Amino acid sequence: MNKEAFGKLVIDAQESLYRVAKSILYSDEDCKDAISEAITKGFEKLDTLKKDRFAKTWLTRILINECYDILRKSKNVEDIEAHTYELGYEETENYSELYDAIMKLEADYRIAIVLYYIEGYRIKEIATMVDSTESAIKKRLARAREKLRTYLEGGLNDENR
Amino acid sequence: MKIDKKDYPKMSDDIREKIKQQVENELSDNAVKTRPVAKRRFMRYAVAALAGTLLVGTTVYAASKLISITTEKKGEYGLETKVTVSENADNGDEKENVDSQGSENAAVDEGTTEVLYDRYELMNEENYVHMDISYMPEDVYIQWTEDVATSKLHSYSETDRANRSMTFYMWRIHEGVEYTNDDEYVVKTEEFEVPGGTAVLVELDSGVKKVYMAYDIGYVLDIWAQPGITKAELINVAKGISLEVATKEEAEEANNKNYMSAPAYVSPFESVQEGSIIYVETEDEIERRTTVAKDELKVYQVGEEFEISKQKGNAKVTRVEICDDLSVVNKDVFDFFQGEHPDFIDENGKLRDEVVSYCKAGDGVNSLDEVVATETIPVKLVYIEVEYTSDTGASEMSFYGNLMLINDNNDSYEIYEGLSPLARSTEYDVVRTNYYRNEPDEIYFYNGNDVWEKNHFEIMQAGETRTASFCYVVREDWLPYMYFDITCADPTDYFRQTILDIGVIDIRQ
Repeated sequence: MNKEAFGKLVIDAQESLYRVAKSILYSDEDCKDAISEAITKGFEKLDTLKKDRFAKTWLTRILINECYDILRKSKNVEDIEAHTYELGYEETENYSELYDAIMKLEADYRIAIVLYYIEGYRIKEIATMVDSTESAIKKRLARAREKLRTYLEGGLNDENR
Repeated sequence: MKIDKKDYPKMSDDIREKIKQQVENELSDNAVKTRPVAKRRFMRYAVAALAGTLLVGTTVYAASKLISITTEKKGEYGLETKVTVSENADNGDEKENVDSQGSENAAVDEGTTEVLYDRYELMNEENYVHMDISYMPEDVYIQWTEDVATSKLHSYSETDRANRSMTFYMWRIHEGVEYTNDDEYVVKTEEFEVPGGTAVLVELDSGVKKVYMAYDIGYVLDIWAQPGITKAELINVAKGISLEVATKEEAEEANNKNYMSAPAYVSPFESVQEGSIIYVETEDEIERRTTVAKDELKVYQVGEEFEISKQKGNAKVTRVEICDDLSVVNKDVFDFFQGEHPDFIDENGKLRDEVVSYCKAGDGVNSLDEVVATETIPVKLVYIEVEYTSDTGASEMSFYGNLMLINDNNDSYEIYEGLSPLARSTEYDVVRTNYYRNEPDEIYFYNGNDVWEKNHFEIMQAGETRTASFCYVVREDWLPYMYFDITCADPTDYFRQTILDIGVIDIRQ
């Protein structure tokens, strides 16, 4: 794939990239940084992309790595729990109830839900993107759906969730 | 519940503009390149190849639905399994087995009308079934993708979970939605009938077996069985399953006993992946230092006290033991370990060795993996006790442990990659093992009070000392490289700044 084609792909995929970043990171500034870094790396490493049709999947994977790196870096010395990749997300009135519910899920569930149900990737593709197995992704999707249903039926502030 | 893009926050014009500018900048070739050198990582994207050679199919006519399960061979070892459901225009209870592509398609087409479905509506459905399993070997560990009561179904903790487990996936298949599953490394397939449906057994080169069962009530049950489960056992389990449609009310009234909810299968968008194996190289942005000068890393000895932080106070490692079994831990911890990791211990209570095979990879479609070397690696339990003392008192304090492998060079410390001598001298692509460790395996953190509280001291009084214990399972050849980091619970393959700030404890054996 040449740079022009990749540039067009980036522009076409920008909304999708934003939603993926927004599923891992809360701050728009962080999302912007992650997308920017992913685009830079994508252009830099374009010659390693063997098949054009993998380009969006490949770029999304780079973006996910960038998002996790930003999460890791944001942790301070006294609160090093980077392995959980959690956000400390707080609801605001700016976003839909469903988005708030998704952001209450653990990061692994969030990203699986968004890649599968919103971005339409196949389970096999998601497994490669997040370095996991197909069976693990299936489980995450099933559990995430159940949790989302509980959140939405019980209300996001339900202490029993 | 409806998941839709419109529920997601909209990207701001600011970000859109930034992306546009960045792309233009890249295309104008003026981008400033300031990437630090970072560790390279190779990820294999294994995808299905094309070239179908054989299509076999079985079609079941039901009272109101027509469900079809077909398998299509791809190359030598690839297999695509498809299930479709359509309204049965001709009705009838007859069954028909079809073995050619043309007639199979004709049978499906007969009752099929094009259906425009709303994938989001499907996802919001609540489907319930009642399932009975008349046969299940007693030592099999069962995993479900949806909650189900197991009063009648077995789920044993004292079992070889890695080798004797089955995972069940259940999907509701709607008219016009095609369920597909691609398998690679397939060495054998077999079709058979199950009550109310038909099934395909798929055996993989790894010993894993799968059964895809299509029920004429419109459900697919997909069971994955680990290599320790025999083909006969799996077929008997499959044949012993009966499935009936149920309502949510019935499931709730029965307190979920043998009822389960099955999500609707939602056909994802068209795949973008086809072709052969490719390699994608990614680089990490942050600098990951795997070697540091000796004066950059503080190294403490067992019994030596040092400060973690003002808030967390001081710590010292007071005890390190290397064991072949779990006799060093108390009963609560032992029970926890057995429950969480039953496959780590053999029938004599000893830790199981790792048996590792190194393979040259096939593509799973036209070639299989080839074993080029095998070794048995003894493993050990590493038990560590740490005393924490807080001068000021602390509440809700979490403690961490990370067992690092570090090579002590004359003038530097270097992260030790942990590969065995055989692995280092062998060219391989894939590792097969009963349990593969590429880093020390954290078993538990124990606060001396309750093993379920994990790495947590609820409260520490001023001047109080508390003891926490940690257990790891490691390969025996790693013992001379062990250092203990108490700044973080996250395994690391580089020297984080916090490790350099606080230091590590030398627990080499």
